[in-house]
Amino acid sequence: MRVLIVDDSSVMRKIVTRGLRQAGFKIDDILEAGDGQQGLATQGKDKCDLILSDWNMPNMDGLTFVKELRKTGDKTPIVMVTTEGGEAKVAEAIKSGANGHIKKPFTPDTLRATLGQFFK
Amino acid sequence: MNSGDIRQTLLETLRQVILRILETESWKQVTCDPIQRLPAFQLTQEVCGIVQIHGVRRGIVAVTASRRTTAAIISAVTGSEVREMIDEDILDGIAELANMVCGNMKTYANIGGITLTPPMAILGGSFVAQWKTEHPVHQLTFRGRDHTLIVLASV
Repeated sequence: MRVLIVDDSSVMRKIVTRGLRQAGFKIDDILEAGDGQQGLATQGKDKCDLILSDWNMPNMDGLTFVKELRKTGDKTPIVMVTTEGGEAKVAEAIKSGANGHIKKPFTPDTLRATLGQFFK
Repeated sequence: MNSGDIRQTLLETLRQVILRILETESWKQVTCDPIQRLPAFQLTQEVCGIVQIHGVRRGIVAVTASRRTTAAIISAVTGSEVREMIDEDILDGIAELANMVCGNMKTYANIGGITLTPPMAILGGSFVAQWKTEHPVHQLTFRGRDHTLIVLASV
């Protein structure tokens, strides 16, 4: 299982990585990208099985990243990791092709509950 | 809601979300002092993360701490060693903390019609920075066992 973390904050990428490890998921490799454009390039080159993406990023935000990736026909599950969890925003992400949503701060339990389905 | 009610809602939501974030991310047994009113929005701590609020309600929130405290928080949530932390880690960490605090405040206060700017971060050994604000300035002081985090809010 390969996971791609798309976030402009290196600290947040470390937090997500640590959370995934603490949640006990069996992960072979974790790749990182600093924005949506890098995320598209990374996924195009080294296809991952699950993508966790921030919402607000420079160059290409998370929502545009989801839309652009889906345009390529890539059906890899994408879970948004955001600080704002309003229902309208979550609905917009799901409508655009995201498969779930995690709100910061999160615990390993939250990650297990939300991401467990993608590790089966 | 009138202006005073909105302020009270935002301040109380801030208090609650910061307690939850600190407890989730790193600190155990964190407490918050009674909210204080300040004469000015003045930053004096070594590390500051700032987010501005735009829209139907304008304001500014700053999360501030010493470098030691900021490094300890980042270390607790990332597993990185404090001694290995460089300036970029401190800036990125305080910015992300401010972003998380204000994003949660916006969600749970549920006021509607407000947007948040991306966070700005400041790191410096000795400086004083002051903003002119539209609303009164309040200070929320959070205390962990060995650390203190101060949040200024003009909302």
